[in-house]
Amino acid sequence: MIDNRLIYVMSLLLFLVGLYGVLTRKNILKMLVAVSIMETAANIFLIGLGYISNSSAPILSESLKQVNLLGSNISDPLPHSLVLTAIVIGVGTTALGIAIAVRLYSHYRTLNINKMGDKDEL
Amino acid sequence: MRETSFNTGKFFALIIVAVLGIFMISPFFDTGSGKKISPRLENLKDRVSLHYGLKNVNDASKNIEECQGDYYTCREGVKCNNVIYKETADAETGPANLVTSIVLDYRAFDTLGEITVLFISILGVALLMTGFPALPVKNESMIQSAGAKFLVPIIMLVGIYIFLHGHLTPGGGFPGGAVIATGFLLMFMTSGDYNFRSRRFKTVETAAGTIIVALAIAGLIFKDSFFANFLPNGRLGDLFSSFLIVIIYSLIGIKVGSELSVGLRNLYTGEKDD
Repeated sequence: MIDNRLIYVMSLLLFLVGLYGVLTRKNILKMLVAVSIMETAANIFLIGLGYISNSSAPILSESLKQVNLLGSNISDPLPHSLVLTAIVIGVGTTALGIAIAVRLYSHYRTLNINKMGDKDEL
Repeated sequence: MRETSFNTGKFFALIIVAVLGIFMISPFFDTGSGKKISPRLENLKDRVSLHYGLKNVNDASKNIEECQGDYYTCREGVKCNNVIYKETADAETGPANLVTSIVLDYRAFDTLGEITVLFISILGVALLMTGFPALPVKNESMIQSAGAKFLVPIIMLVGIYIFLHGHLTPGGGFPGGAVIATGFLLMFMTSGDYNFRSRRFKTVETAAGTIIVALAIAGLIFKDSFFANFLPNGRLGDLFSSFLIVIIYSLIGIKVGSELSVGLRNLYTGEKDD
């Protein structure tokens, strides 16, 4: 039996870890990793909202023949489907970020954001 | 640009993170007299999502429209015929995986937007990598090429299994497509023998996307709404059940697999300027 508040607090702590990484890292790829950590924390928070004590995954199978009418044997399937969407969009944004990082590296020959902008264009 | 001291930056970052953390975490331990997070939500019966599990969303929404009141008072009149695995036939939606029934039936329009977002982001990758100098493929070791020849068919097979069983087991089109793209990445990384043309992948992807939208419009023609389920549902839990969802999930798997393959190819060797 897990208190739902524990899941919320842990996911928020993970979000803060990612935020700290975004604020302090100088390497673009490490910043992208930190953004991914923040995304994961948000996903865990949503999944935690759908958790119901002593419930199993919302998939009918041989071991879970039907949904209990009192509604206590499966967890909420709605946050799961929303998180599926969020994960796919996270993949898209990460791919775009990596493409931008590749172009920046080919232009400035460095991934450190403090050393970018030394050329005359910026 | 002024170089700030490393420690100063870390100090301010810690302060920002701490303040934000206090604001975010404090509501969970609030002892005020306001409205708290409801303990009723500890049971699926007190959530709207129960109707996804019982597959009576249409009945429930009709009933609530008729009595025009609070959801919790109106729900008593909703008839509940419970669905049973391997017994119920022709339920409101076919899949035994309730998440799939939401993603591709009740909220399929959301999934269409999701596919569009992925398409646009991969398009952005292609635009950014246009004209990027193509890196020469390094000579790989014998272990790498032999291992790829052995592994790639198995990886493809696992991907196809995942998206064909999306209505019965965890998984579906998006994870299956990602697995297939991993197989193609292994092929890109090993050898120049394979004659890859991004154009072929793009053709497959475009065809899959067009068929998905055509199926959605067919729902508008044969039934009353966009993405309506107009094919038979079959018995719950069989492999050959909920035909429309299997078809759409397979198309999504093909589309996502080819799309991510093109994206990885672009990141690896750059997009050629046509």
